[in-house]
Amino acid sequence: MAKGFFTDTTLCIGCKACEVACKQWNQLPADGYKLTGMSYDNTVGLGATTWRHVAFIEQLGGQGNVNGHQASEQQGATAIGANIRRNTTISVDSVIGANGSDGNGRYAAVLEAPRLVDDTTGGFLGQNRWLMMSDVCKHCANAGCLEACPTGAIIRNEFGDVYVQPDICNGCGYCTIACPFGVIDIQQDDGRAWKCTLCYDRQKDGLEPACAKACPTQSIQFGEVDELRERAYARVGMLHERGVTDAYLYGADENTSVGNLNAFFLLVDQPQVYNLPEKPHVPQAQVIPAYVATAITGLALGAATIAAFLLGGRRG
Amino acid sequence: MQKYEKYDSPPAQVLLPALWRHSDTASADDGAQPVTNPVTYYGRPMIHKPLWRWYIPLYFVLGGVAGGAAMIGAVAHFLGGEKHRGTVRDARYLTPVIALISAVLLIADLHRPLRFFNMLRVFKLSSPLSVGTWILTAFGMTSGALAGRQAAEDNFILPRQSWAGRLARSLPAGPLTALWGLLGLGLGGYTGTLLAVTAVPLWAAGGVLLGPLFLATALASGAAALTLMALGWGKRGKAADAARAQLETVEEISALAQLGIVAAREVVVPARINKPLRHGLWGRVYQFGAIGGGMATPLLLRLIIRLSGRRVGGVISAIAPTLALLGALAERFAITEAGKQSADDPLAYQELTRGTPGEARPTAIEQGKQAPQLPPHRSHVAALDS
Repeated sequence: MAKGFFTDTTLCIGCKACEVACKQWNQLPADGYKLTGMSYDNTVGLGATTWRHVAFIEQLGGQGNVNGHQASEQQGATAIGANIRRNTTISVDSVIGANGSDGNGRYAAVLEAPRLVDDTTGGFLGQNRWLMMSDVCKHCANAGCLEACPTGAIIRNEFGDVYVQPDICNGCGYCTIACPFGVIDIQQDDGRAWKCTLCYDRQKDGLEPACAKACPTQSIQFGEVDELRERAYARVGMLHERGVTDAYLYGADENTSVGNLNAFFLLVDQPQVYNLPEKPHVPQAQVIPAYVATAITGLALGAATIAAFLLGGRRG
Repeated sequence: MQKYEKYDSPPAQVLLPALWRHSDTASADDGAQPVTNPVTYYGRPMIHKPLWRWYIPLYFVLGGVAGGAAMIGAVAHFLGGEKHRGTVRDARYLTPVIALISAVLLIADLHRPLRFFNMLRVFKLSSPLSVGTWILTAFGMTSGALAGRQAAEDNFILPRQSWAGRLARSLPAGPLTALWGLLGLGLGGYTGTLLAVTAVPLWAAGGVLLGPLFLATALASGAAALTLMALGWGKRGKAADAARAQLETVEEISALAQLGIVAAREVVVPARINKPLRHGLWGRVYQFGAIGGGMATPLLLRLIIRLSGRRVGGVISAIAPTLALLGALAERFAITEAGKQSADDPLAYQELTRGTPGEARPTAIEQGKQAPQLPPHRSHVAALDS
């Protein structure tokens, strides 16, 4: 059974413990101390030496787009904030009433932990929503990098994940442009392609990946993908019940050529907001049409060349 | 190190994300359909751009010349008769040299060049790069064998009567030449497919047309190279003129095909994605260099010469094939470099990966409906579990 990640962005607090844990365990070099000036995100994106990346999305007054469901009616995140506040109150009762009797208070924690929005208008810069998401290699069902690799360095390992064998990669770089999510990259000083291994070495020893281990809010959860998916849908159900009706899973039930992602996400806004494509394509979906079109053109041009030699001969 | 350069000086839109959103809406101009709800992550790229250096587009040109020359050489071998002896010879000598240079360029562009042979441990149809590696390898060997055979026949480098010369002359010309032509076709066309089968918006959108375009350009540049070589040898006479006229016809047909495919591409590829080929430096190189200079002008020149009905000298005849070759150079570089620009454009990638709500995955509302209510035994968040 495939192992993977469920990254619940509603639980992410942007602490970057996953980034650090990943760097430390995998002994990845530092990326320097540049500040982007755009947000708390100074990591910018995934790359050869960055296998976890926490994105910070600051949605100022009315910018929260929220799939257009509620935004169209109520214009902006402020109204949604009020909405969540109201619904949360209801679900506190229902949740505790239904399940709180098990006595360990586990759901109470959920109710307190994520405060998605703040419905106070104005305030500091009028800020009313701050989305954070720990991005990672998706370990796609149909992985573009794996299909593109001309050396066979990229494989699917026994845990169902996409792994680059560093002793085989020759740094051609074709995988970097075959990835529909911009994950895998060439490390310049080393000359090979690198990306998240889903802590292959740790998994072999029965440990969970470093990022999931380090995550203090269980925003990153590791496990069997099927089980994670079940758990994730339950989380979606819980969030919807409590008024966050924009919560949905990205990568769990995909109808795209990329297929389901072994590392999938719970998002509360359009994928583009998190720098994810709405409908990713695996590039190799195009390979057969492209070959066929080229072959047909070859036949036509070959025939034209033959005709030029046969017919042109008379003229000469 | 490479990594930091891209945010050394953050552009204004990075500092003012709010303004960037509006400027996105405004910049979806030049006939582009505005992307519904243009939202980007601080304008950051969504995918990685190609790391290829200039070796690769140069290889695209050279591989095209070799592929086209092999196709023409093969047809000339079987159908050209006596007057095309020179064409076949030129093609046989030209192609292995180019194949060798191509291999050097390709290996040099690897970030671990000494491991190039790892490409020879697998064959993957899903990877045009793997297919292309094998095509180039086989093409190099076939064209090398044919060149050796030719050299032995010509008593050039390989002495006719030496054991190597005898071995080379004993090679079967017919099957080898047929294989050579077919591999040439593959070599000319696969590079376009190589670009199409990526996530780069400019290449992936209308990607099925890139293979045909590259192949047509390959044939045109192969014909142009052979024409130039024939002119260079300076042979005169009716047979030489007739042979050259046939090469020119092939070049004209290919140029027409190129123009047709380019026009089709303009229709198919959304404006936002095609932007780097319409504006900026590479846009100009593509429009004026590749299309204007490399396809339309040679055709026009030939038309004028034909209409005038006069015989033209060697120098004037060399103008059109030279332009065609330069046009191929412009085309390959423009498409490669513009591809890099489009990979950096998040809105272009969004255009490529656009979908209607619910198309790629159930919408939030649907997921909420199908989601189970709270699970009986599993905790979602075990913050208090411990």
